[in-house]
Amino acid sequence: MPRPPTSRPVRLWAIRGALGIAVLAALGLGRVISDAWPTGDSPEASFVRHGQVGDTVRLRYADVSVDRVAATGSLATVAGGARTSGIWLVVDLTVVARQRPLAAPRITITDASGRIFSPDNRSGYLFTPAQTGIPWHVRVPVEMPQGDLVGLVLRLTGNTEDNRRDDVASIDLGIDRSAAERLEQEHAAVEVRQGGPDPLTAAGVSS
Amino acid sequence: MVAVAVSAPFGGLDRAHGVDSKTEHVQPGTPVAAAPFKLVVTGASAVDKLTKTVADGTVEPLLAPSGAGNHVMALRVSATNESARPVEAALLSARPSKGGLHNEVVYVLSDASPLDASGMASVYDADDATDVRLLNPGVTYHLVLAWEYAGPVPATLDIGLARLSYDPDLVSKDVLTWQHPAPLAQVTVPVKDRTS
Amino acid sequence: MTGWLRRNRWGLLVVPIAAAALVAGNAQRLHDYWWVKELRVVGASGQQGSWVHYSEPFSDALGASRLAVDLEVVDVRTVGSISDPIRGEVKVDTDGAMAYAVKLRFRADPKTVLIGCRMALLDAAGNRYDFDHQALGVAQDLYPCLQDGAEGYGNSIRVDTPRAYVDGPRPATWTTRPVVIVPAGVRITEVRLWWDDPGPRYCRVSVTPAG
Repeated sequence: MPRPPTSRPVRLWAIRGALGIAVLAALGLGRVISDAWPTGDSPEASFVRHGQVGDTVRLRYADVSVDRVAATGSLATVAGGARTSGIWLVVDLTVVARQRPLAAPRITITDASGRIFSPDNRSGYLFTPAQTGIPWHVRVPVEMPQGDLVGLVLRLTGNTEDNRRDDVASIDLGIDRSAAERLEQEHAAVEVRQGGPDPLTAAGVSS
Repeated sequence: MVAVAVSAPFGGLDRAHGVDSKTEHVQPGTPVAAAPFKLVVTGASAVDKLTKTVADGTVEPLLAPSGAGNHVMALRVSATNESARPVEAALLSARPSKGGLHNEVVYVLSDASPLDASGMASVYDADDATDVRLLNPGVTYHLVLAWEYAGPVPATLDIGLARLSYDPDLVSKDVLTWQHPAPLAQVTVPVKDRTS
Repeated sequence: MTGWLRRNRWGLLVVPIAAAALVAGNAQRLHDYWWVKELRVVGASGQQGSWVHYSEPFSDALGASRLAVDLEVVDVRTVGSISDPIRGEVKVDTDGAMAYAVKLRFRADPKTVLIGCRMALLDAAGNRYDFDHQALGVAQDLYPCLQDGAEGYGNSIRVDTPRAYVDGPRPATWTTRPVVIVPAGVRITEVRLWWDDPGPRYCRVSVTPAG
């Protein structure tokens, strides 16, 4: 149907103007939505699985349990031993890798104020890849300052680089004030070997 | 002018921190807040080679000079990581000050500076001779920073200390790393000559 | 309607091409961060007791070529000990674990670079049990497909440097016998060998273990 020639240019500019306003309004609405309901970390957040000493925490890539917690001032290692002016917190872990071997999980200890502590090879710690399906026993010594043992939590992640959207174990080591005092009295040297399928002997045996 | 303006976001306008900046002179044994560490430089020795004695009494080499006539400088420091995360021992490692500051807190001002290809010292625990790779928060480590150097044994060693800032990485802005050294203090330590 | 379609025919024709270009433009990330992170592409497939020819692209500083090897899984059987060059036969007496020895035969041009190979055993459920040359603290040969000391050539890492022997030359045919630790009671159905780690290409051989 032919349109009257005189109104055509006016209609065109009106349509363009209205479209422009609609685009701006849509952009503005988008901004209001993302400000009011920010996504934050949630699309990339890890899935934290909680547990306590003795629990088996089930992760996508492995089952993890903390079997015992000990402390000492000195370690016996194949390289000759390690000492500290602080304290070695020694956690015995069992890891059973699911579907494929677990080579390099990242294990850390977090204290009550949020400070993070890492195990280090100088303590004789070496995870060694955990073969699929075989319970892998690893002794994890972590060097810490004195007087910081209450409320420690162990975290284990699948790899050392990227844990977005993956399972993370968070295990409360159950150390209250009296347990912390008992641990700080422990002095016998603890032997540290690399991880493997052989069960760990009790802390305090040094040969 | 345009080139200067563009480089500013990349630190181009930051004052170049040279080692001739006026910094406070402190005595050995004085704690210095060389972030992320609290550092105390305690002493230095020059030795033919660095060794450790194991339980059965045998002596094992830790660091031996590769060049004829060179010696090993062993600088003793106490370091405490004052941050809330483990930090790499490489942040401590002594470097020569020639060529400006890298990402370390300890640098060697006088001669007798590290000859190693990377220009860095090795870090050992003074109590148990283990290789130290990281320092956990709040623990005081008694360390030896050791390096091969050429030339005669100096009577003293001038050590510069810097502090680092926990800043966003240049490329990945949501990753923070310890960088941007700022000179803080100088220590002059006497060197015990234990060479043969 | 047909008027609109006719007026916009060129645009509509371009839409699928543009969509394909959009996906392809991002395919680099899909390739680098997902496709090559797993064993996905069966380069060759065979049965225990017969020769399998396996080939995949190979490149180093001297350029692109191909890796080609014939292999045979002769035998897969449980063993009670693993041979260590210093300690002799080391018994496998870990609770809950057992050991499988995989006897492999190979044929390849002595100039082919074969270092970097890996091997795994798979069970019927698809669980993967990787060969670890230091499993249980026993020192086996580093590569499941090569004998220590007779690996042949390694990669060239510089354009002006020819390939050199890792240790010594490699004969035209040879055998290896890597041992893999697996949980007790699993039923192994497949041996996998691959050179690109973590993926995507691999060689698959169905097996029926003995013992």
